Amino acid sequence: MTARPTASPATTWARRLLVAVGVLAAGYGLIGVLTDPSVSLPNYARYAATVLLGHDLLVLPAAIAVGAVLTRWLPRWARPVVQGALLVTAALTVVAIPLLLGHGRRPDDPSALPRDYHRGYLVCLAVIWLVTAAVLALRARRRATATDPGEEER
Amino acid sequence: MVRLPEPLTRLHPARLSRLFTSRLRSPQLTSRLGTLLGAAVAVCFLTGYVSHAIQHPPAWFYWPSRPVGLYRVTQGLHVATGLAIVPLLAAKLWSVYPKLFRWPPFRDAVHAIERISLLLLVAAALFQVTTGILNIALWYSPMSFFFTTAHYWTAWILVGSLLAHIGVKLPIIRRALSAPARTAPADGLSRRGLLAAVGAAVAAITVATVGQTLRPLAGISLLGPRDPRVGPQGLPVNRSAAAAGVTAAATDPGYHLEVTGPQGTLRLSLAQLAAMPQYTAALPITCVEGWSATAAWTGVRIRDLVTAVGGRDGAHVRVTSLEQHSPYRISTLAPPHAADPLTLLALQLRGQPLALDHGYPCRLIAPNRPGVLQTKWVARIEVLP
Repeated sequence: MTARPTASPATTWARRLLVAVGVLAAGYGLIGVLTDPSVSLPNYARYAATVLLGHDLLVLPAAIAVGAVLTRWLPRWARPVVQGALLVTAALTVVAIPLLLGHGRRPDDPSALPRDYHRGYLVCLAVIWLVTAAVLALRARRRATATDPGEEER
Repeated sequence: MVRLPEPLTRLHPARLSRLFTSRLRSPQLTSRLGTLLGAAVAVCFLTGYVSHAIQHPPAWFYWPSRPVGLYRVTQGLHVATGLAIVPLLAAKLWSVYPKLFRWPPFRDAVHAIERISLLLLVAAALFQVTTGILNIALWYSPMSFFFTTAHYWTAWILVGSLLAHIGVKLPIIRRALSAPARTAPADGLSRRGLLAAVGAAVAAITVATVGQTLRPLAGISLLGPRDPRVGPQGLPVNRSAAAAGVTAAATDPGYHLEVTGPQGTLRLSLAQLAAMPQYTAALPITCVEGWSATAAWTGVRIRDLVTAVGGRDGAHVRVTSLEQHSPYRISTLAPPHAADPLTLLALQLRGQPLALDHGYPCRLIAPNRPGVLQTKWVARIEVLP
């Protein structure tokens, strides 16, 4: 790599504008958080730190580790499909957890969280993994009958 | 087959980043995920801002009363897009995860500012997504701050730090998006495969939840926090009469509605209201939490009540609930909504008197407004000068 191509003035100005507007907007939000009495600051800061550290140091490493361990023993052709299915499962689980715990249920309001979420979650998992099994079966069959290895790539 | 872990001294951040072996991580992947994520954040921010502005209108803001179901679209989109962000954000953060362990943490002042703004961006994104999920699941105890204002201010932090981030990374993004596609790594997911998996996750989450506002999908949205078919009179409720503490006042046989305007005050009993000309309108009730359902409401037109006390058509109308302690006790109808012939003081829902939890003896129902502003258990209507 020698000299980098110099950026056009338009790009430079676009970058400056983006950063300037961004800093203003984020500053507006920060001032709002700091001054709005209905945002209790210690609780807000504690919650923000918890989700940040919890995600970066616990949830994501755990997900990477689980994905690596669970797909370790799979044949190479099956790995991507299972990794994809694990991603779908994990994302759906994040959405489902508060519903499964059901803390939002209200005795005086039967329309709040009205469904059987345990059953619903299991049905969703069953659908995800049935589709995964079908895709794997299809891949296995195509692999067995494939004569031209280039055909598998798409 | 299990090897002993390397000595702990190897856990130096600079070495730690070498543990991440996926060759899938690349500026191309990150830029593509970032583009999708940026679009989703933009949709959430704009729809969220619209909802905020309807409830706290700045002077320049105008919100029409038609189309009747516009707010249910913008708010349904807000929640559906917010949920779709879950797999996008997860994949995006995964794609840059090793960079967290870059050493030294700051090369110089500019680099330090960049990394701090990144910290702000990631924290704000995680904050918005998780508080949104907790809110639609009605689980408030982990938050212990007022969700509405915290979510609003953090949206500005998120969008601001995102714009600054795009500004900083623009050359890399440009180069990555215009670069020819690299051949996929042989092991594990391809880039296209990962994007397909993210798409599948978005689809799965959407189908599992969007039935809370798309009635035809209500039967298969097994993880919808609401079912538009479930509730008193087949319609969901967000706040019951018991929770609002209005049961006694609302069922008092001596109930009278007060209507105040330039020509004085009317006190109307429920029988007198029922004797006025009645109109029926099919209008959605739309919650800020993303669920919505259409129902047939019958009652007196607000504009007729305004005329009865000598008010003009272009007036603001303030509606007050019997409820004593709620930030949504009072709601003001802007002229487009106050004058709209579809805006009713509803006495009936689907041909039956309103259930207590739907606002008996009478409630406001107007086209294209958030549910929190459709005041229940109405005590007083004032035509503002």
